[in-house]
Amino acid sequence: MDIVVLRVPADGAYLSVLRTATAGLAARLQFTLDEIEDLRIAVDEACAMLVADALPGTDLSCRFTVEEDALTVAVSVPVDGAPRLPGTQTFAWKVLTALAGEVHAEHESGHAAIRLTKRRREAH
Amino acid sequence: MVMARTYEIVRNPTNDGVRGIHVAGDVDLSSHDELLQTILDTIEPGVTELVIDLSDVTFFDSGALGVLVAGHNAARRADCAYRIVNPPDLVRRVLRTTGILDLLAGGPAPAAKRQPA
Repeated sequence: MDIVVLRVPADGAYLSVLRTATAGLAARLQFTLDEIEDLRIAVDEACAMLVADALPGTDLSCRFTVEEDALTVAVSVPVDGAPRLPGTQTFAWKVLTALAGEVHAEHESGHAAIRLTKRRREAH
Repeated sequence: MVMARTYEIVRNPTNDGVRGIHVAGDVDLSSHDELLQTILDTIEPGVTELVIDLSDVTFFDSGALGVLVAGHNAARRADCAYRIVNPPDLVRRVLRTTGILDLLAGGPAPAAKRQPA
């Protein structure tokens, strides 16, 4: 199991960097092209939701856990005292859960976080 | 950071009421507002049809979808026909996942859409 951590400014301009990293790591697990695209969109959706709530001038932390048959991505940002977790009725949340499979949102100690896991499908 | 994206407004030389917007590059959080503004600015009085060409889009998320829907709503208010054309597979993926491919791509609008979710 390998851990890769990226920290970028919590700004939409950096989402492309995280999408590229996601695709690169997913390719190492030999995900299919469709699965890689799903993951790229899912990570983008998760990060976009968090960037919207992040305190100005803070960083977004993105931690990738690379396992033999799964990639877990945990993203978090600092938020102020009364954080909102991403609305589960939003388009973004629907897309995220449709594409990633396992998704959890949580808030603790001044941070809002989303963790998603994509497992590689067994070859038929 | 400089992003590789463009929104080119294409005018029909023989009919000024028909406008096109050719979108290229990544459409993500950093460019949603700009794309929406481009669409809204293009729906000006006298414009009867707006065609959004997505053939060169390289990334497309749910926020981008929201922009296209907002454009659709603005066009409808202005009595302007509105459709998207040439969505690449990665765009179709998001449109299909959210169930609104037919609404924006000019396909059939089944009565089922009016049923409560």
